[in-house]
Amino acid sequence: MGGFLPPAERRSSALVGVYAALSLLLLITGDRVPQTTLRGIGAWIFSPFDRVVLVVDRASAAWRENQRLHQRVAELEFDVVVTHEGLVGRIGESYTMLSRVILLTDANAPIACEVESVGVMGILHYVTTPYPRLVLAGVPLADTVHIGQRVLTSGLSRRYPRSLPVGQIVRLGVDPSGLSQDIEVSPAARLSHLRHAFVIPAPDSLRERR
Amino acid sequence: MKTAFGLLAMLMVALLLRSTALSVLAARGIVLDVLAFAVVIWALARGEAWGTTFGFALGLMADLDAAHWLGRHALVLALLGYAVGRLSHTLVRDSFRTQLALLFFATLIHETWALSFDVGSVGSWPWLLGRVALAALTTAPAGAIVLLIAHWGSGQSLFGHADLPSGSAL
Repeated sequence: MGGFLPPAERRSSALVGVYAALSLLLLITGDRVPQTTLRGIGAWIFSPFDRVVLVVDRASAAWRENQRLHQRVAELEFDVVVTHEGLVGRIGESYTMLSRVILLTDANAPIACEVESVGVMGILHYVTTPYPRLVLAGVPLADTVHIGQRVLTSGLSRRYPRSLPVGQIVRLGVDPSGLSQDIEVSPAARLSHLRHAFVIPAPDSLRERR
Repeated sequence: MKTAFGLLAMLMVALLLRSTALSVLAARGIVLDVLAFAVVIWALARGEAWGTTFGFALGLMADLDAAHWLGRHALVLALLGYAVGRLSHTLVRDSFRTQLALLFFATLIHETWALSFDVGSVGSWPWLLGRVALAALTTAPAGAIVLLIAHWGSGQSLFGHADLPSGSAL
């Protein structure tokens, strides 16, 4: 057929003949080529592609994970926010991509607490007089506590799981009413140096209310 | 030289697409035959010699990726590149319908050939036919639409007209 065709088309016909013959040869003999050699050649050619695929895959996985995390954070109303040092507060409002946290220094968010190891119960709340501080209130004068003891969330709290570190007793006094102790607590979490916080599930009673 | 670089770039893009986005789509049942698409485009643009070379190179790469049945894709894609390249001299290459038909038949042929190696018994033929039909029915419109968008985007003819002189006999 070559003689009937112009030179350019003869060349392309010859070319396709060569490629077809080569392909057929590979089809017939390809399985006799050692598979490890074949895979080695394939791996060598495709390793740059694999790297690109891997990078794209990792980036998309990280993005999806981030989206899931944001989605989860948005569903976490009432859940507890902590750092590795201690309690920060709880999630009060959730939006699509962010949540608002009620800090333990919120004057309207008292926390049921206990003093570690002695089990003395009290209500931790934030007061601004005579100066801004956290006070463990409602502790009878008869109960013995010491400066330096840790204050934890108590089992009476409906909003927080038990035994989360809240702070440390830094000053002891008597309440102006003279009926209970005035225990000043320094928060365990350094609220002015927050970089990362963790969200942990609220007690089951609260989760069921969602 | 420019054509050789273009060929390498097109090879890489086709293989990357095949192993990333299209493999994800294929796992969800949407088969887009990017190998057939790339060969048809290249052969339409460059003629049968480059079409054959591109088809053979792309097919060989795909075969090496699979590491078995070496020559399976290379043979059919080289022949497709040649056939489409020959047809490109007599067809209106920028026509949507031409591209649709070429992509449909090229995908049909390529998928039938490539999948026939994986089919063992007669019972698997319905699966093969379904997959081939799905691939042809998705690749042809998707490919033609991509070319249409590229045509609109560039504002000029992608392939130019057929090089047959006006009035000459076929």
